[in-house]
Amino acid sequence: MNPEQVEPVAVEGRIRIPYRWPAGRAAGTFLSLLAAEGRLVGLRCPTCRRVAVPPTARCNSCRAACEEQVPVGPGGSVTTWTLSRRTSPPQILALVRLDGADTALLHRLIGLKPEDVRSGMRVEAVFEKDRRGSILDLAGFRPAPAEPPSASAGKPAGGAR
Amino acid sequence: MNVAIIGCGQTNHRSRRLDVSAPELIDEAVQLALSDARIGPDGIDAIVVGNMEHFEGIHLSDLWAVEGTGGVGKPQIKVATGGTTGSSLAQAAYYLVASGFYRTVMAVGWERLSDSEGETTTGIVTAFDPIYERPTLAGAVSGLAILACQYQAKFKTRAEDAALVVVQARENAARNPHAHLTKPVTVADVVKSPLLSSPIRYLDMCPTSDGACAVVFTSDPGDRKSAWARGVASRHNHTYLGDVAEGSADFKHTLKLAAAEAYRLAGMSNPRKEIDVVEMYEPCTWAALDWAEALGLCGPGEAAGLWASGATRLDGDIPVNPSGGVLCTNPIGATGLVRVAEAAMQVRGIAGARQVDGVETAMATGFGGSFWNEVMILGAKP
Repeated sequence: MNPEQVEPVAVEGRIRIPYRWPAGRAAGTFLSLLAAEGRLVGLRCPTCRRVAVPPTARCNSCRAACEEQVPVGPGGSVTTWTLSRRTSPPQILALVRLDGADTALLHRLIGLKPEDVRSGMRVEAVFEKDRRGSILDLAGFRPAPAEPPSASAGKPAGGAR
Repeated sequence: MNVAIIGCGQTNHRSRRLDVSAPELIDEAVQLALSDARIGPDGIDAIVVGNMEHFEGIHLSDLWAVEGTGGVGKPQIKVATGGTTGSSLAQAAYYLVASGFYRTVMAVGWERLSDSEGETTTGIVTAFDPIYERPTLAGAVSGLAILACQYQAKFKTRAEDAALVVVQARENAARNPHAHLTKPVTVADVVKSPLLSSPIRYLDMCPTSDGACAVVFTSDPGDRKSAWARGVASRHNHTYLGDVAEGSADFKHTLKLAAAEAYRLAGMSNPRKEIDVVEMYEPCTWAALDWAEALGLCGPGEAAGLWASGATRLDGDIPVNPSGGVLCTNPIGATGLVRVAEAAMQVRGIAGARQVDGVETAMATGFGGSFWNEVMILGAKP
């Protein structure tokens, strides 16, 4: 057979490999408290004092081991956001800096229209009722009254869905 | 530029490290290497990191690993060459320092085989040619079984001869706190263990481990205990599995080439006499026999006798794998780097209960992708 006369041949395959990723010490603690108590915590770097949320076991700036748990949220501020059309319906993805944290958490905004989102707007965490140790135990963040973080101290702002 | 290894760190390798994430696992090894090297994180100028593709299902694994490696704001390069990943990391770190571009470079290898528990073979199958071989090939064991069959047929080697390799490896592993499998086994245990792919039985084969290893290379060791790189060589190849019949593409062809180059660079003519200890990447007992011959530690067909004579034991004249080797510990992306770390520890005289007396020169090998081999010879002097 003349190779120039051969139609292109493709061999089909499918790769399916199940995985299970241990969350580890830092994320394991974060997810355990989220699931069991509906509480959010960051880890504070002993050197630069930065509170990381999501927490990591070692500070990426100072290389110091981070062990001090710091309560954060459930209120926070949107630092930046986008409307993602990868899903249907589209969802609003946002970076939320929780009160008490120095870094922002990637999650989604719920209960508002894209045209109502503003960078800097106040939001609060919405927790799922049935929580199983996943970042999706947080249903997302919904708009919260515009009040300074200090005014909401001691007042539970998050709500269960 | 002469290059010295001044720090080695490795986790205690286990079948499952469910208590730590991958970056936390990497961090354990990195902190130990920094501490052994007596330098802080600022003393590392660049990082080379690697693991096996597919094994953790993480694309951009080098990005994910940064929290553990300390690569923020530094040059960090990923190297992934299959089973040789660990030794390729060492070679890349060596070249980055030898070239003079960086003073101190850390190589970091890691693997979490438990993340895809029971499915490792699936990960390995994706390494093979999807048109001709992937539909029929059954993973890592069968390729090595073909090697073992050839070796057995050529030299009439008995299963008991190969079994002795893992018996000795386990004896050594019992002296190594980092080793994964440390329970003693007998020749009878090995030849009665389940057959995986003839003639390879369960106990002839390396395990799957979770673990990480970090090694610090520098051109400026100061007064630190140093193991100097004296011969570094790598030879890769591609072939279809059907080509492993002895010839230009067989398993040990690239090992012979790499070893010859490393011996030349190190100025060696009689490796059996001039090398004090070998950390060999032996994925199965049969490979250890074949490759000891490829490395020139004995003549063709003499490896069974080499092991039986006790020469390869800790107190023999050519100790092989005082650490227990790959047969006892196999966090794959780290495995080749563990060979280099263990060889360096022998030269630096800090290998604890598995230390061989009076080591001046050590050799580490790396094997991967079925047909790739790398050799690093380390010495007490540059």
